[in-house]
Amino acid sequence: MMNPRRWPTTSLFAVMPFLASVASAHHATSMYDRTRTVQLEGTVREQLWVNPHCSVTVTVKNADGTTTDWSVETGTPNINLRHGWRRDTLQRGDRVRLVIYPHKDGGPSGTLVRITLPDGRELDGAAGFIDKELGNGGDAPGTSASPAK
Amino acid sequence: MFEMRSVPIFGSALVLCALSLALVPASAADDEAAAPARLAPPSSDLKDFAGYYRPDYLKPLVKSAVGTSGPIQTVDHQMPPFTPKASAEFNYRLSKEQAGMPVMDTTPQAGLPSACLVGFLSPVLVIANRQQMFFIFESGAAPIWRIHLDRDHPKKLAPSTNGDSVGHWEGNTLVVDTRGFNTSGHLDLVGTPFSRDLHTVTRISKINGGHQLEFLITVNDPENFTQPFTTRYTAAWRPDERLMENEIDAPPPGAPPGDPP
Amino acid sequence: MNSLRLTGRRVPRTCSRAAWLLSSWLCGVTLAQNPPDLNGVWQLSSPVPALMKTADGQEPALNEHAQAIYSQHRAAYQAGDRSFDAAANGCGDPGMPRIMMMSDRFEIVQDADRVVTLFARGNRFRVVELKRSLDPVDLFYFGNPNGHWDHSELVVESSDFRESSFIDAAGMPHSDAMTLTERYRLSKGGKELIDQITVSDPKTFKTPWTVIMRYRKLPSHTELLPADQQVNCAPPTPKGSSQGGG
Repeated sequence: MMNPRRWPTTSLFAVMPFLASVASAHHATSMYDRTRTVQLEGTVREQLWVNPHCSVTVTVKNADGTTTDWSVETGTPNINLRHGWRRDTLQRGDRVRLVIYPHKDGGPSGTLVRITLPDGRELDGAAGFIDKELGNGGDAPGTSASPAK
Repeated sequence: MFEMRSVPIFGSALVLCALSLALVPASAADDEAAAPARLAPPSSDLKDFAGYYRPDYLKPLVKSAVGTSGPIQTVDHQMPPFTPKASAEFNYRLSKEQAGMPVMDTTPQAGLPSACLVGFLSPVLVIANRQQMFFIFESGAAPIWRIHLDRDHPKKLAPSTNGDSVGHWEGNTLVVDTRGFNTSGHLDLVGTPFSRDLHTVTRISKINGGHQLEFLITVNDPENFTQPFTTRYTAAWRPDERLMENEIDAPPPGAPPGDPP
Repeated sequence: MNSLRLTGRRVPRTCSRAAWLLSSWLCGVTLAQNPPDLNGVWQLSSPVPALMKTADGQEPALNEHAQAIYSQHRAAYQAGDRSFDAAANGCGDPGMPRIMMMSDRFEIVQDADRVVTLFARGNRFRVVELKRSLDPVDLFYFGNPNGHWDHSELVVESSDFRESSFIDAAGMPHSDAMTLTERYRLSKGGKELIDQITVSDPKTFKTPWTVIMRYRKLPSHTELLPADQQVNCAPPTPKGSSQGGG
C-alpha cells in the first residue's frame, strides 16, 4: 500500500468534489495551434488534478519584468498516470520548463507537449504522448479529405 | 451402496482431503503470474478473446477530435455514404468540433463500440462467461458493451444507449447483431449522425496470432446513409494494461463542463 | 475383516482403501483448482440500515475527530439534508464499501484471471485481478483491489481510497488510509453470496471492524438495469445542431 502521505488531498492540489458518474466528456482540442510550440519557464502556482481536465498554472516572468500566469492543460488523469504522472508530481513553487501548443486566440494558455521538472525529469503532456502515439512530431497526419458532401 | 467397515479409513480420507487443500496452490496459475505481464501471450484458443487490449490508431480522413481516430470511415477509407440530410448535419458538427466548440452532448456518450474504439489512448477489457461477453472500455460514460450469447433480441426492445447485442460464432468469428439504439450515444466523437433505426453487425476475430482483435462493423441506417457500409477497427493485445476508474470531477469554478480550464 | 463390501461384492481392503484415499485427494485438488462460480446478478437480501452497524450490532468505534464529522453529517441526514453526500442523488460515486451495501443490483463476471463486478449504479465496474498484483497509482473510490482464491473463498484486499466518499448514508467518514479485506463465499447451494468486509482505518476508527453482507441471486437473464431506468448523471453541455438537436 502506498504511503497515504504521498497523496495530498487537502491542499490546493486536492481533487475537486465529484459531480457526475462515470463519464468521459470529450473535450475539444482543436483550439490549440499545433503548427508551432511555445517554450515557457516559470513557477508552478497551482495544479488541478481533475478528471477529465488536468491543468497547471505557471507564473512566467516576462522580459519587461512583469509576470503572466499561463494556464496549461496537461491531460486526463488516467492517461497521464500511464505516462509517469502522479497527482503530486507538481508542487506549488516548483520551477519548471514547458513546451506547449498555444491557444489559437493568442492568450496565455495552451496544451502541454512536455514539461521538465525541478529534478530534471521530463514528462509528456497530452499533446506530447498523442504525438508519440501517432509516430510523428506533429499533428494527426490524416489526409485533408473534403468533408462529406 | 457400500458400507464402511473402517472408521480410520474415513478419517484418513478426510485428513488427506484437507492436506491436499492446504498443499495445492489456491491459484493453480501462480507460476504463470511470475512471467512479466507484458510478455504474457494471448490464448491460442481463437475463440478466447479475454484480456486487455488497446485500440489501434486509425488515420483519420479529416482533422478533428485530436487524440482519437476521428470520425467513422469506411473499410476502404472513404467517408460514409451520407444522405443529404445526414451530410449537412455531419458537416455542421465537424465544423464546430474543428473550431473547438463541439456541439454534441457527449455525456452520457459512446455506448457504441465504434465510438469507444476510436480512442487509442485507453484500454478495453474483454471478459466472458457462458452467457455473455463483455467489452469494458475505460473511457466513455456507457463503457460496457454487453453481448448476449445465449439468447436472441427480446420481442419488446426498449431503446438504450448501447442497444441490445446478441452474438453467435461463425467459425472463430463472433458475429454480433445490435439494434434498439436510442440517440444518446454516438458512432464517433465528432458527431456522425444516426437514428433509432440503426442496425449494426459486428464481426470480431483474432488476427495476427491473437495479438490483435479485428472489428468489422457493418452500419445500416437508411435515414442517414444511402446504403450499408462497413468500417474496420483493430485493437492490440496489451496484457500489461489495467482498467482504472473514470469518475468525472466537478470542473473548476467558472469553467463550463467539458471545456478546458 | 479384510475387505469392504461395495455394491454387495467383497473388495479387497487394500483396493478399497486406495480408492478412498485417491478420491479424497482428487476432491481436494478439484476444490483448489475450480473455484466457486460467482457469475450472476445479485442483490442485497435485506436492506442495510442507513446508520452503519458492525456484524455484532455495534456502531464502529470512531476516533474523536471522525466522530465529530459523523455527528454533524448524521444530524443533517436526520433533518433531511443530504447535501453533504454526492452519492445521494444517484450520481456521485458511493465508493467502497458503501456500494456493496446499496440495494442496486450488481453482476459478477468471472474468469480464470479476474473477477469483474458491474454495478447498476452509475454503470460502474470494479476489476479484481487474480493472477497479478497491481500497485496503486492513485486514489480511487474503489481503491486498488487485488484478489486471490482461498479455496472456496475469494479474498479481495483493497487500499488507496479517495476519502471523499462515506461508509454509510448518514455520512460516516473514512480516510485514504482505509484498507478493506473482503471474503466472498457462496452459500445456500449457490443462491446466496456472502461478503464479509473488514474495515481497517487507523486515522478514522479505533479498531478494525467487520460487517457481513448477504446477497440473493436473481433469476437467470435478469437485466442489470432496465434500459429505461438508466440514470443520466451527465453535467449538461451546450447542445446545438443545424437540424435542431440530435
